[in-house]
Amino acid sequence: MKNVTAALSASGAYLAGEYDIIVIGTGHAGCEAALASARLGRQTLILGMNLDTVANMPCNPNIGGTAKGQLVREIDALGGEMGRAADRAMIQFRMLNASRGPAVLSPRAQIDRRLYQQIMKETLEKTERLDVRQGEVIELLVDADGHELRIEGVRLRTEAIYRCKSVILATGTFLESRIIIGDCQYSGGPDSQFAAHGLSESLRDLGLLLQRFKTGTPARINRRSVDFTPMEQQDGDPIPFAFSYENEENPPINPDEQIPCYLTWTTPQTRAVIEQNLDRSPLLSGVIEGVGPRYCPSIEDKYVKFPDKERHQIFLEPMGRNTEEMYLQGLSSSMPEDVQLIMVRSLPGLQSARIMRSAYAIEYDCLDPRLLQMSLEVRGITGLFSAGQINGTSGYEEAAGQGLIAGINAVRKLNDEEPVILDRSQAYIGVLIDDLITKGTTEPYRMMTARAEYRLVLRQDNADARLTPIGRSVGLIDQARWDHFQIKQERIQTEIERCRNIRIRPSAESDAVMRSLGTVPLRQPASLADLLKRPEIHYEDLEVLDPDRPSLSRVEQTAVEVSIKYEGYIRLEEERIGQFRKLERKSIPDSIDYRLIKGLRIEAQQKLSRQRPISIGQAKRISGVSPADLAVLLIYLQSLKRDDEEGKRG
Amino acid sequence: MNGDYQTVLDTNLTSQDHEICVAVATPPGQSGIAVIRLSGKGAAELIDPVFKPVSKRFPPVFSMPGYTCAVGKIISPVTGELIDQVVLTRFTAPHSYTGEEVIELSCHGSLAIKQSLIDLILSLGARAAEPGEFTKRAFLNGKLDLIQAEAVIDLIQAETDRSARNAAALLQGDLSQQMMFISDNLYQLLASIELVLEYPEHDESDTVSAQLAAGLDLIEQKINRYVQGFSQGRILTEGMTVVLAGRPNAGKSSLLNALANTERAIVTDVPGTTRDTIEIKIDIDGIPVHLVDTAGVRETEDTVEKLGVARTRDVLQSADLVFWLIAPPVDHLQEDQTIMEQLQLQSLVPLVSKDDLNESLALRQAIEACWPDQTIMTCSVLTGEGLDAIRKKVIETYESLGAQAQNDVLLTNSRHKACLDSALLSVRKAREALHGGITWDIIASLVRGSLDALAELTGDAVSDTLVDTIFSRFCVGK
Ligand SMILES: Nc1nc2c(ncn2[C@@H]2O[C@H](COP(=O)(O)OP(=O)(O)OP(=O)(O)O)[C@@H](O)[C@H]2O)c(=O)[nH]1
Ligand SMILES: [Mg+2]
Repeated sequence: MKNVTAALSASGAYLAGEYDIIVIGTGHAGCEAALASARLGRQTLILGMNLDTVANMPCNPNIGGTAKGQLVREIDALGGEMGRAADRAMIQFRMLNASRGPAVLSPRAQIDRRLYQQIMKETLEKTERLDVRQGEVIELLVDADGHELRIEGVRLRTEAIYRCKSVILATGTFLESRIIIGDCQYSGGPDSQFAAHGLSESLRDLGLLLQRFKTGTPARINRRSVDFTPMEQQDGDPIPFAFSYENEENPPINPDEQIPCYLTWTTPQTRAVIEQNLDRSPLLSGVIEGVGPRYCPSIEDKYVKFPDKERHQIFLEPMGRNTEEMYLQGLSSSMPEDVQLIMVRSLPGLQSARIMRSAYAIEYDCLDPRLLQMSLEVRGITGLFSAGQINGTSGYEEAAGQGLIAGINAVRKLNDEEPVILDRSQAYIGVLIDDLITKGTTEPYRMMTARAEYRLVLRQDNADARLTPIGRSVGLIDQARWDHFQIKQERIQTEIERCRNIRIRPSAESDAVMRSLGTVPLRQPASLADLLKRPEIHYEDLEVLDPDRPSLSRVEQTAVEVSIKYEGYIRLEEERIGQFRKLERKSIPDSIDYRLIKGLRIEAQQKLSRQRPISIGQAKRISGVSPADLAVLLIYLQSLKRDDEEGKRG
Repeated sequence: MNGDYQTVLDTNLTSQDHEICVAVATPPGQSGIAVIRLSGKGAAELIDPVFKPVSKRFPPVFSMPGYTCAVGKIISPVTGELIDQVVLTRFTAPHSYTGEEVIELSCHGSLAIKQSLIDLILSLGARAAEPGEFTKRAFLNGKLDLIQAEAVIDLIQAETDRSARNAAALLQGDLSQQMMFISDNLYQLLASIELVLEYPEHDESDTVSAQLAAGLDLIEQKINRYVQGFSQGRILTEGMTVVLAGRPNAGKSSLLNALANTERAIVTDVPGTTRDTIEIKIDIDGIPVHLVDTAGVRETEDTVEKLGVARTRDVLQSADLVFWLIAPPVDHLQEDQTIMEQLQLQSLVPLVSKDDLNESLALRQAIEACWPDQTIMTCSVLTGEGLDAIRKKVIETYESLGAQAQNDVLLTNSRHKACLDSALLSVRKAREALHGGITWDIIASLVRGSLDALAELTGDAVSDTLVDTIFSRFCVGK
């Protein structure tokens, strides 16, 4: 453990600069963190090992999807960058779950990954107060005076020393990473980049617990070697939406220039190849020690764990507009290259496929996220924040969401302001961070809508209503955007009111409309709102009966319809949220000493001492804390309060 | 849905709770042997000065290992007198009933000995345990889950066989297990829905849709069975209220005395003897019964309004079973009939009393004419005829309330009932939503609501379990 002065005394060391905040890593977390920090007024430096890979997408070439699409909308609503960049770089858009209801409706886009990188890099470069610099950090420099460690700077491989007040770690999957392709294993990061060496040791030296995770990516093939005839073509939506609320009226993508994906299936031969070569799979033979994600199993995993399933879906996704490379979603593998080729060619339409890049598994170091506070600051090390895959997550969207929050909170800490902590009823970002910090994770954590208890409220259509006011108060939403937001909300509210008041009388015309929609005719006058509550009726269907309606944009119409149609269910969920918040508001003082609480079981005492929940609600979610422990804790807190009051009186 | 754990514990803990508390742990009253329990840190040190082992081989109490016994005398330090010879058992934390350090003294069961021992221990600095405090401590120390802790209280308070058997089953964790089973079914269902929602590209909605309809029906039936069982379960803890009502002089008090085998109620031939309700607890085949005698009711201008005392009416309304006594002669039958109709009670059974009298035949025939499809019950306290049939009717009524399956554990606690009610409501709404063409996000949310309600019973966290279920059952992923 060194401080800046000690680091500078090494031979060749020099002071390369001074910043408020240094972000390590130029991936999706790093970019959001750096942009937020600089935009909020702090002198910021973002360091990456290779500036040609800013905002790289080393796995699937898409952004969004179930739960992830909601995350992107939230990032945008708070004033982050991912949504805007994705809107400009998308080459296909689909709104998933269109028939399953607004709570699970999820935007997803195929992305031109080169274009995306270029847009993001340019955005970084053009941001005021933000310096972009290539360099590999190998050590964090801390001041160890007093009880707490405090970040002072970073040391690069070249012995450049930067002084700073805060560091945001966003190193993704690079720490001591190892690539595995069958028997061939070597040190390396994603997309044939170098692994980052040294930083892991520096973190351990600071007393931080690391775990080793594993993930993988499938092969990329050349489109010209594919026969699409036996495959099912999947086109984008005829009328795409945008991720960013800034673009919702005019999504930048041209609907006619969308590039399709294709669907094919594994065959009995695929199974045979895998079964014959299982002994060569490092995942199953135990060569790989890292823990892999259950939601993204390799194809060999799928066959082993679900032997009854005959065939598996494989999607071909374009990697960009100006490339022939295609990504084989569903065929992630760590088999040797020769096996991979036979496997790929066992699929209909891929008989003569030519692989451009092999599938590989990657192992890397990451933090146990239970070491963090809800602000994403590492407990016990002032000024050290961390975000993204280093916190045990997977996915670009999960990374970006954390990056944004870490960036905001690093700045707020320097400004002596309270951190922004979103709770589980406010945002998927809140669910994500709460899950990580409260429960930790034993596999790369992927966001899923099923993880959110209050999904009906956490919708993609209302992320702005939920979060833009927070983004505004933080300082990431400019005046124009704020005005637009307020006007939109007002239009929606006015229209909801109007729909409650306008009554439709039964008539030949209304009968015809009802019949054409497959619903029963009116027997007595009904408000527009009443009609919208029928599952068969949508807002636009009622136009004929409601000639005086204001002209609303598509997204405003959706917001009105959802608010009215699901009113009762949303109210139910809001009641549950009320209950939930009651426990969240019962806060636990940071100074609490769990060893003094008699009656707590040892396990609970240890877990609570380590994780230091901020509220009873959070304590309740820590595994190993029983209802009885909570009761003891509540009673203790009450007695503290009583003693306190008596103390004041006495 | 997130329970406020504070309300679950009805008494507030104070810092005193970590003192040593003492109480007789065996049921009150005279018995051969009784057990006195001390719980709390330092219990061994506390008892050691007054405990004189019979053999020098025994170490001091505080050096005894857990789960060992010693025989010795308890000597009063003040008078030097022998109070009792006891067997002392030591338990060390956390391996005891309460999870704390525990000393148990098996002493002779006379009231005087128990009282002297308790007084002595209190004088040494222990505190008298509040009712249920050992169980509360056990719960707080994680030795029992909530359902089990509540069951212990039921067990202690159980007055009849049936009550005790049910409480014991609850203590074994049977209810928790059966609830887990229902939860598990719900999880499977929800996981299937979530799979469709989470991985729209793997479209399996058709198969899931069929499963869903059938699954929700089945779960609704299951939960419903437990909810119904609550009326029985409640009787096991609170007792079944059986009311004897009828016109003055019908023989109500006499019947009460006969069934309860007492002379509690005053019997005269003057109509209107009983002025207020009299209640006696009796045991009918293991069912705890509150037998209630009431003031006689006669017809006036506005019958229901002037139903004797308002109290009688209240008692009738909250009764589980009402016997309406009709005594010969037949003259007042019309009046009885009017009153009974106006009362509109569900479980009102006409009962011909004083069946030993001659006029009773005419009365029976008249009643048969009124209620042709009902077997007419009769009784006489003079001959003892019909008393068993009355008891049988009580048992039948109890059984008709209850759970359909024999091995179901009965819900006895209204907290559990409330959780299940809310789970049931959500499942019903989910079913309606499914049939009404409501989108699946809503159905999922309702099923989840039901799981949340059950989680209050089982102490499960829904989200984690759900994600595990999804991944263990389905092959998904990119
Ligand atoms: N022969 C005969 N007489 C009975 C029987 N039961 C009660 N009696 C008599 O009927 C009279 C009234 O009995 P109670 O038991 O006091 O009647 P009650 O319904 O409680 O009367 P109130 O309290 O005044 O409403 C008494 O004289 C009893 O001895 C019976 O089974 N056979
Ligand atoms: Mg009487």
